[in-house]
Amino acid sequence: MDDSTSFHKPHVLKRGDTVGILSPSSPAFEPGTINTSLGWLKKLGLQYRLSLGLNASYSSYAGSDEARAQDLMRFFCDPEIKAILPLRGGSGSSRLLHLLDYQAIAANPKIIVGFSDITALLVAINQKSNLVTFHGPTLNLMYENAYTYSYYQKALMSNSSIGLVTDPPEEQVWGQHYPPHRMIIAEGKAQGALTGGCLTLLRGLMGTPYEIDTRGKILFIEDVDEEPHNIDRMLCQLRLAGKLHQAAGIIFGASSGCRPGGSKRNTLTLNHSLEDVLRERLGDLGIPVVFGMRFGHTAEKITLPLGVRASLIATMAGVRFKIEEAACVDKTTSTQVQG
Amino acid sequence: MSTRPRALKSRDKIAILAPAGRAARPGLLARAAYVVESMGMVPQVGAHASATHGFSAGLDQDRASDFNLALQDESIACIWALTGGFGALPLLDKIDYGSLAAAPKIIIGGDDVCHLLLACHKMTGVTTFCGPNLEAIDSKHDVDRLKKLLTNPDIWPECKAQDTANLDFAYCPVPGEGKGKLLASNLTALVSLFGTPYEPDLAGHFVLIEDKNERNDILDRWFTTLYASGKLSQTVGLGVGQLANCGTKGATNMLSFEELIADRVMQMRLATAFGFPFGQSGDCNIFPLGASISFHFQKNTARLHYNEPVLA
Repeated sequence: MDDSTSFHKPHVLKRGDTVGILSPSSPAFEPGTINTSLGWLKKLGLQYRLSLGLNASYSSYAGSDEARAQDLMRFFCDPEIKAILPLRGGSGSSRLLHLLDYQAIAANPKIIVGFSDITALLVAINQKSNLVTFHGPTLNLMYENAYTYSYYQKALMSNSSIGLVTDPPEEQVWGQHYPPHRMIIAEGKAQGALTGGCLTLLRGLMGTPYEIDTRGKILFIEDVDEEPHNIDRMLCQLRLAGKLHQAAGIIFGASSGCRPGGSKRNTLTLNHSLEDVLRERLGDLGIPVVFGMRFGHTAEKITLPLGVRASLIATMAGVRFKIEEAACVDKTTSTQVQG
Repeated sequence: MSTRPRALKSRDKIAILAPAGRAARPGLLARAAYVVESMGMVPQVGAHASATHGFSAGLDQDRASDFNLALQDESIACIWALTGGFGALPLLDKIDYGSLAAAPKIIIGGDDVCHLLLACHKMTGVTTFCGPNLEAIDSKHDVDRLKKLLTNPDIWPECKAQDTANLDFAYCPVPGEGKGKLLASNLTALVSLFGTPYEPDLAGHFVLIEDKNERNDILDRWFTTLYASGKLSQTVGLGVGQLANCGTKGATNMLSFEELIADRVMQMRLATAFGFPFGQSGDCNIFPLGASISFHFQKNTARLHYNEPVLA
């Protein structure tokens, strides 16, 4: 079985490794929460280093663009640091993209994992440095629940493929749950490398040198607290740009708070729903489209590696989503990656 | 050079269309017709101006059909959008650009309608007009003022930026002067065309932006797209109009939009001025996309001149 893609894979994360903690977007909400997260790292047997500008502040950003970009490049170029774990998203990572040295990143492949605003870094580095990057929990959220943590481990701490993606166990989810995890917007079968992230960020990269390449790929999209009409406008932009038709398949995440009227229970909830928008804009593409999987801003998060081959089958018989290829390599054991 | 539509004259027919959101109430639609009549023109309301589908005035094909019928109708001299909202973007691959190119006419609107103005200008080279939507015009003074512009086949009067109505002051963080083609748009709409076939050409353009109801960091997101695309560095100058109900929204640590864009425009030495009478309220000016202009930004003053007639 051919497991090769054109992407470099980072080295698998192991006990005893040192990870780099930084804030390329916004600073921590409360400084004390950092210590809690660092405590969790100890349980994983990981050492850590904090970036110089971790607690800096400039408007909604954690310090100046130059300082944040330098912190990121310093971690990439430091051979002792095996993985880069942004503290959180927020805003501001798009401001760094023209300040990064993508060749130096390619020469020092390592794990970088995050979501939301970190999407800009994940897509830019994936495409400009040909490196597998990880759409998963930021440092403060990796322990949010067992499901999130199990996929974090499968993606980063193993040189096997993640394999079939399952839903969170039902006993963890009480009461009514909308959307269901695997609502079919359009049936079909697809194979391709994964790419995607937070829609607001993907839209912000359009027309820039970091614009997302969806050709032949399985595109995953999600967002948070956006009104359906905003989602509609962003999807229309991607659609007019050909990004949706070029994809092999689309997985739209559950996207917490993207209800009409936001999270407020009022008459605005009568408005066009996110599901209405998805059926209108994604239903006729001729590729499989699934709505409701949990990644990004929902509490349960699958960690999705960009640049790694996956398959999506959406038929009346059900939805099967499998990450076919390992995201990390382990050079010390020199085992062949399993598909 | 941009193709100039014909200046309006008395008894010209103006199509009142809702290519994005619907008429919020019949009274606004009636008032828009009255405004057109007060200009001495004849209103003709689009079939789906009051239709409802989700957040838009009818289905995409209904709104596109209203727009195309108006483009194809040679008796219509001008299309003026009633309102903005959401829904103009999905029309762009359904517009009959050929008819506009063959028979140029004035198209006016603002807010979400900017998607159409930018696309029509890009696809045909015809000058389109960014200004208040019809429902925003609510004074006799503005009716007369805008009529005077739209019926003027000579060089339009100069436009100056002003921070506040009662002081002759404009904030110009980067002074400078130059010439270029005018490109005016709602910032969110401008960036929504990036990566699509309708993405505007900004090289050699003076870019004028406005927005409404957005927090400063969201405005900065879209400004960052403009910057990261490399297109901002191709422009000759930047004007900022109204940022109505934009701001920090209570985030006291957040900087102003003026500060958030300052490092980049200063490093690029891009002539920049704030306070242009450009936005979505009825007292704003109409700005022609593609018109040849000159600008002069000095400490405390910012002026924009038209180099040639805007209308034929």
